Amino acid sequence: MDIKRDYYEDIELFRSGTILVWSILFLIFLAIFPWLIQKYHPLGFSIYIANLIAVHAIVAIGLNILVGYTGQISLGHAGFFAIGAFTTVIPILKWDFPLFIALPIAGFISSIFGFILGLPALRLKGPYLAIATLGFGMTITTIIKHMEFFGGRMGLQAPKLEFLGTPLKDIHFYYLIMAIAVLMTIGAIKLMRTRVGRAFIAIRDSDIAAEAMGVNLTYYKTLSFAVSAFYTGVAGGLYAFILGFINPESFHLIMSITFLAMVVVGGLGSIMGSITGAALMTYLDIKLQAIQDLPAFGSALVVFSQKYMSVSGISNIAVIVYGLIMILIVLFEPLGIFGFWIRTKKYWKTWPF
Amino acid sequence: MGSILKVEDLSISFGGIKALNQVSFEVEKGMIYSIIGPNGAGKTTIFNCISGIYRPDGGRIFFNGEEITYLKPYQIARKGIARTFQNIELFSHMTTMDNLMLGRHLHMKTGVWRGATFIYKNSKAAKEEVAHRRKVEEIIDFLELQSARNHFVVNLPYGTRKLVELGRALALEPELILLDEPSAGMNMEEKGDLMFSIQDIRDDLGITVILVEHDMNLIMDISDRILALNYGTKIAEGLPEEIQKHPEVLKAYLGEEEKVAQS
Ligand SMILES: Nc1ncnc2c1ncn2[C@@H]1O[C@H](COP(=O)(O)OP(=O)(O)OP(=O)(O)O)[C@@H](O)[C@H]1O
Ligand SMILES: [Mg+2]
Repeated sequence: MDIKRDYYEDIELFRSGTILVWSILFLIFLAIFPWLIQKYHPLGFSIYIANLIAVHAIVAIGLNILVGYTGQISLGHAGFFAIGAFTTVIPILKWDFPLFIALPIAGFISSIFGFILGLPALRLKGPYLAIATLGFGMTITTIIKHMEFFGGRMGLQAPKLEFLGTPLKDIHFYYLIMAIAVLMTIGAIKLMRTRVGRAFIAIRDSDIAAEAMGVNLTYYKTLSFAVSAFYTGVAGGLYAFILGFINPESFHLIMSITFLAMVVVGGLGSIMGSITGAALMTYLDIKLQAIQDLPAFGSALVVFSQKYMSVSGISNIAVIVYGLIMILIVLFEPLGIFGFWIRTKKYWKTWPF
Repeated sequence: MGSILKVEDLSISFGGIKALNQVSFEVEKGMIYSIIGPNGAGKTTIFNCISGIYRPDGGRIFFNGEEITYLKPYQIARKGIARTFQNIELFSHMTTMDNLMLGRHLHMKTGVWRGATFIYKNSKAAKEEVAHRRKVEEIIDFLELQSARNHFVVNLPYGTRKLVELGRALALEPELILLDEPSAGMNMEEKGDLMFSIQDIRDDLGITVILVEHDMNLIMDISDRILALNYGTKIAEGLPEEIQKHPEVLKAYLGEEEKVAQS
């Protein structure tokens, strides 16, 4: 029997020394990454990829809170991403708001929309909820596209960021994004281990029992949408500055689906999984765009693609390989990459027996 | 000793079936009150009406004199009624500890902001969490669930899961607890332990118990009063020895046995 007397351990961020050590190593890695990478790759592009991964990780964590932890579904998160992007850029552009005020406001505006979208979720389940959220995502981009205020069809140029009058360099923006991503990750981990997170998981596992134990389903389901939308909105705000330009067309359905894919591939109900899922899918997406450069194999793919699948050439082969990898992961590891990790960990713990 | 729960003319139908037909009964504070009846008699349906999962077609339910008939399940939980389910409704991907901690939901306050941002052992959220974990540990000790404490409940044996569900209901610190076939799937020894636990729940924790059970020995041993149902209708109500001899009850159970014998 294990006697437990220090209950704080259960909710502590680092529940073991190993986790603490790995977390510190990872933080050090993030800190020296620009310096490490610049010897081998152009710094600007590497930072761009890293930023994109961090932003996607924030989205994936937010979406996982809704899908993996609360058991709801959303095919409309590109909508929150767009809301976050536009409501961050516009106050900075039009009223000279500083980023550190505009960004949380954008998160809150996004979470209000999340709350509103959560209301139909009280009555809708599974496929029906998927369709409702899909409609939400499409409506948002359509509305943005048709309003001059949001730059209309042309979109908006993200302003150059400044800090106390001096323009922010790429490398500073990298550290800013990483800091926000790390803080939001910690927030999510803590939230999932305390009262609110438990209520979310309870709703996922048995909504009847959750309600009978005093969980107000209406409140917590809409709250989950709101928290999820907050994460996605903040990520959208950062995304605008990574691209430097936002256009309503880029927040399409495929983007929503890709977000969902990151969550599923990484592992439903796992924060660490969300991060790995986001990293893997983002990296693959970028790398596969250059699939024709693979030695021998690449040119064969191009020939194959041109012959059977397209007139224009390569672009679809990247999508197909991307899809294939997703299918393989989900097929062989239904728990996502994180499930694989847990099993490997078990394996090494018991090795060589 | 006043009445804690009063059910008046409770009726509900599903399609053409009258699952409950004008059922009335009253439970006094501090009782172990049992509801018996053959399969499909409407026992679980009564629980579902009391806990707000079903909305009755007619009739009223009073808890401590206050009408609760059309309240939502979470509001009824807040009034002080907890329950378990016939087909175990646990949060299967949580540990035993976390399942019980959910039972503390109503007694805790931490919201999104505090939950996501606490850093120190002395922050409000952390303190609250620790205090309630201590409380839950008492329940774990009470039901002797120590060995299951940190296991995910999916991996636990059936009988243990039943106990975890009981523990979760106790964690709510209810005034009234509804137990739907708590001994199902338990062996003789576990059943014996359970019987003592139920008595302790009433005697030591001061919680009134309404029990649905098929095990007649257990029922007759621990019930203060018994309600017998058949086809959604109350056929008898009284002390265990009255129910045991009641002709309608004997008929209902005999009919059941004949049906089994024929099939
Ligand atoms: N949600 C529902 N939809 C349709 N019919 C229902 C529903 N709930 C209960 N019933 C019906 O009501 C009747 C009573 O069911 P109930 O579950 O209350 O029986 P019970 O006494 O608990 O039986 P058991 O001993 O098998 O648990 C049954 O005929 C059942 O089919
Ligand atoms: Mg039943």
